[in-house]
Amino acid sequence: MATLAFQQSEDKVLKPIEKLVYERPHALDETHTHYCPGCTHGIAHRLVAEVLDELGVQEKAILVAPVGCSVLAYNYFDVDGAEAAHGRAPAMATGLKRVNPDSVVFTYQGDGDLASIGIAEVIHAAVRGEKITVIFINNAIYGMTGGQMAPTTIEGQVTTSSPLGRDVAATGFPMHIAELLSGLPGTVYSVRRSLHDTRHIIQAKKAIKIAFEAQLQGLGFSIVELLSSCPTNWGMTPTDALDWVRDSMVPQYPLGDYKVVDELKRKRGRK
Amino acid sequence: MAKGRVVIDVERCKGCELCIQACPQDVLTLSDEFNSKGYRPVFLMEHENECTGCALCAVACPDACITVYREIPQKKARPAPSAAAAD
Repeated sequence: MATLAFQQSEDKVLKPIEKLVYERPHALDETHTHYCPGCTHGIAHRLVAEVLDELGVQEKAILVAPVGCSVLAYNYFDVDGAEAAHGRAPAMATGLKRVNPDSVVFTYQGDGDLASIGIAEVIHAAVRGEKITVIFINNAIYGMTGGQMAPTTIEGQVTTSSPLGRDVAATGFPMHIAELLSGLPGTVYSVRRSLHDTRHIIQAKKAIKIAFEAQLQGLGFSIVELLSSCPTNWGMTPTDALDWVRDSMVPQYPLGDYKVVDELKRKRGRK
Repeated sequence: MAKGRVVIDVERCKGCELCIQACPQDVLTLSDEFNSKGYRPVFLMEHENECTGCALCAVACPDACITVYREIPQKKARPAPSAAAAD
């Protein structure tokens, strides 16, 4: 590990000549991730870990890992974790939160997991107003299984199971999870952010922090949808993939706050 | 402008170039050598534009392998008080 540089001043006292601006968050494990180069799963992991550090809740955090590329997420976070069956992370998180009401329970799910097979679990968790936080990674494709069409695949997008582009007449329209869950009374925080450049990454981190604060205040169900890239299955370089998120996904999935209850608004206003 | 320094965990770096795209000073580039995973890690160039320690590379890094330091501006040395007292 690198250390601060020191310099001896005139009065023979060692003084640091530089300060630490950024270091790897402590809530991330030292394990190297298996993600492809440039995969924004790593950025989302880092943001969640930074928020856990800042809120000081690493010791009482419980991660419920999904099925998908992030199936090994419990190896990458230095927090307690459980692995749910495909799509059932919100159901497992419900149980964990109800028996450990003081813990901070969050699920980390991709679009194949949450929007397809697990849509019932996440909707019912939101309807019940479970006090959990859901981090939803929307990269418009099934990553782990080889790039098939997902519920969130945008119109005309080429995937291995839609080689001519997604035809909405045959396969329906892309699913807008943040808007969908914002209509439910148990949801207290439902927003969409993107990870395609540094400005939006910083905004995404703020949203994740508010989502965890909503849980800590016991308000109800909070979800942050993050537009992400999949360079490997999209067949692009990591930088081109982020440009594609900006140019193709953001117009389809408008960024914004779809539901923020007044308690959270007032808190944000005070800061 | 403040001077900064980044330290790259080369074994963790996957050479995705997202930090290179994020760097406003263009002082990061890929190495010609490979790490043990077979990726070309990024490194900080000696360059006419200097690193300012803005940490945007670390914000963009998916593998959290960048640590950023920034120089503390040093106060100018004041004349020694003992010289004035001796008069």
